[in-house]
Amino acid sequence: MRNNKRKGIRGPLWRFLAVLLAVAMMAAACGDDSDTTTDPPETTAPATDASTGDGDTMDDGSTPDDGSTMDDSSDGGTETPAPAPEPSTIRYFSMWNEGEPQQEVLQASIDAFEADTGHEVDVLWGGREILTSVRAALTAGEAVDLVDLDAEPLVGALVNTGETQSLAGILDMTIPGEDVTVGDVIPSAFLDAYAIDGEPHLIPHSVVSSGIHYDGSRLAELGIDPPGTWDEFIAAAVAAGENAVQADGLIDFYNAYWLYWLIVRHGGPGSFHAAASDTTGELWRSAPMRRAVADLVKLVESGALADGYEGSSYPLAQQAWAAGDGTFMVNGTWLASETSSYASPGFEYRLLSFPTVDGGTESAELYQIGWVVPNAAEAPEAAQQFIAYALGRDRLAGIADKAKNITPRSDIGVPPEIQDAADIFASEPEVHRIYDGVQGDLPDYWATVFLPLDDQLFFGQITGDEFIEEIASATAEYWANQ
Amino acid sequence: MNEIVTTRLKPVSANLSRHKGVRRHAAIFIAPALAVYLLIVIAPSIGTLWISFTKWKGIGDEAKFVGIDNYKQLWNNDTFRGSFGRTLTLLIAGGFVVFLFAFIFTMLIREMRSKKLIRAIVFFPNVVPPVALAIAWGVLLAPRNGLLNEFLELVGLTSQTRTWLGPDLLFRSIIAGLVWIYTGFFVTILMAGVDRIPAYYYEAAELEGASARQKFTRVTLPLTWDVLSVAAVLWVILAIKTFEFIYAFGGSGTDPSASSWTLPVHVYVVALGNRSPILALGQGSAIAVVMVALVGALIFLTRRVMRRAVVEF
Repeated sequence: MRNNKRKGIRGPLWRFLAVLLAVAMMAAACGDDSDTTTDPPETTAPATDASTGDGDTMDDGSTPDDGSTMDDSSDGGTETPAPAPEPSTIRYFSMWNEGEPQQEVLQASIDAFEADTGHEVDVLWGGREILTSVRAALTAGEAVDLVDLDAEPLVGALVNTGETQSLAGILDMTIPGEDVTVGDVIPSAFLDAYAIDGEPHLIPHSVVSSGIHYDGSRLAELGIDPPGTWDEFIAAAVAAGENAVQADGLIDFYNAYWLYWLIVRHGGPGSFHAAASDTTGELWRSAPMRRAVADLVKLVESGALADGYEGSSYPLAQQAWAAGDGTFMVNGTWLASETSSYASPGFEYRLLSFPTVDGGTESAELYQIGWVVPNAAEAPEAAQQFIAYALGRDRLAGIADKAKNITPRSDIGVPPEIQDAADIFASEPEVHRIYDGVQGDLPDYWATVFLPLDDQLFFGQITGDEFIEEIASATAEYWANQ
Repeated sequence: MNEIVTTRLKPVSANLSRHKGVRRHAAIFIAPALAVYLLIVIAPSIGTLWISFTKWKGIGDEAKFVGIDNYKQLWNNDTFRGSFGRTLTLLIAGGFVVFLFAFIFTMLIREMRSKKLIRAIVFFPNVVPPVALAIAWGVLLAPRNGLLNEFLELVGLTSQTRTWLGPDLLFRSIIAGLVWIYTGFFVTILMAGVDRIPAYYYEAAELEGASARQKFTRVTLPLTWDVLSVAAVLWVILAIKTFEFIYAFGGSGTDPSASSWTLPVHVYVVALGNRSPILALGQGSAIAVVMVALVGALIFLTRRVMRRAVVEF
């Protein structure tokens, strides 16, 4: 009886399912068709000014919103595409949250830009996961005119996949209100870092770096001189007493600062990237790598790392450090602005260039935060105009004064909290990308091969030799799978 | 009431034709929901299966068909094996503890006077967003100045303090947090089953001199077996798909380190990621397909193992 009943219901239900599926497929097919059917008219006619009446939406500079221009063009003509209408709205996706100093600085630029140019900026303050929104908008075929984020994720997600435009044209633009061009004020080393075929794809508004932070007054009290070499650093850390080196061990990419810096010091800029990219994994067995790993093991075994560093969740260790529990902390130059509200009285923010090693190379880490213009932009010219506008001296100065970051313009002063970082940039002979570009160019390798093994080494779970063996074979295996 | 009776007494043929009409109408009413379901569940699922056979970084990148390469790579991938192992650990070890506690609480609460209030209290963690709970657990288990370690020191158990979020204990701490959250959920489900059991069974058992354990094994367990089997299936699904709590456990707002990934976190990181997206959508989809297969197989197994004749009472 139950079976009969089931069969009875199944019949019409299946029929319905089949009909629905057919309808859905037809709808999908129609969707495709509708795209293709608009093609022929496009090839037959430009929206010339001869087509009066309906066509004038194209001429008054506003974006056509009713699609009528497509239909108008069906009445014959040549194959020349219609000139792009003057865009009026820039869709801007930003990594900042409302209320952050950078957001306030950029918002002020946006307001002034809108008032001065008549363009509109439709901005999404989306926080650090802004790429998720960008990705969703791109997938939905929506316009994305401008994206603002730190360089490495941007490069991994958009630039390396060929989804951004060359911004070489901006370099010749005069900055409104000044008699200099963008190319005059942004150092070429900054632009070259993310150039493709010699053309910049990312224009920075902020420059960050990393190194070892310490409280200048505390170190003086302890009678310790700021260390210059790695061995001096370990000696200083051991002498500084309990919890000398603080770390939020649950953030694997903060842990990675140590080994990446040591590799770049021992092997030079590009050596970490080369080892990660080596399809045989053999570069990991080279002498500079072994020396870098041995140096990290020295730190782990010195006992200078804070108690329980391997299980400290962000931002507990950096708060403790600022409050006076600990002496050194490796981090980006944003650490000062992140911890200033916890800092003990008299805290003097100082930054050490990452310690040098015997026979090693010196260079500064260059980490940029800036803009890209995706290929999917519908108002790319207005977006470029905005970049040139926001780089104006008075407008960009807020990045230094309010957000406490270094700007790419040398004629803008540096906030005292990060003067050391600026000095490091000035003194180091060359620059390298953060994490030597491995995070940005090889995000998969970075997250699934390097970081897990680096954590094990940094937590003292494996020896230096074990690390070398495991990462060499994991690297070869990773590339064999690509 | 009368109508129902008369309907039942109608000849079979009339009955069928009437049903046919009902069926036709039912189909019309079901159609919109079915259409939506097809569009937002079935179609994307088929899409995911298709993507799992490709290498694709999303829009702007041309999908390349690679057959079962993504699945073969998973087989050889240590990080995936780690995520898979942790998922099974959570499912089996976590499940054992969740149901153990759920039964203990159920038996205790059953005999309490203010059982509704207590039931609401143990259910409470389910109402709070898991991300907030994860961050709270991070503070609770912090190595220094964490509430748990401070408490242990206060009561003189300094030797028992641990780096709870360190690599050796991190995942166990996560399981403890999930047990704490989900026990209340399963207490509520089991209580619903236990509440149906007439009190006189327990009274009779008591008169016969049954111990608490005997009351549980001879009365509660057999009479709630059907509820338990549904609860077990729910646990399989929950354990495999739990995401937010594990993701946010480190309290960082960034992708957690690989030592705490389970399958859904692994899918998220390789397919979307946070600040440095990997965008390996093919591989992410392959893991998602493995997850669905795992859920399906485990539900089938659970139903098989727990199949019993339902005791009518």
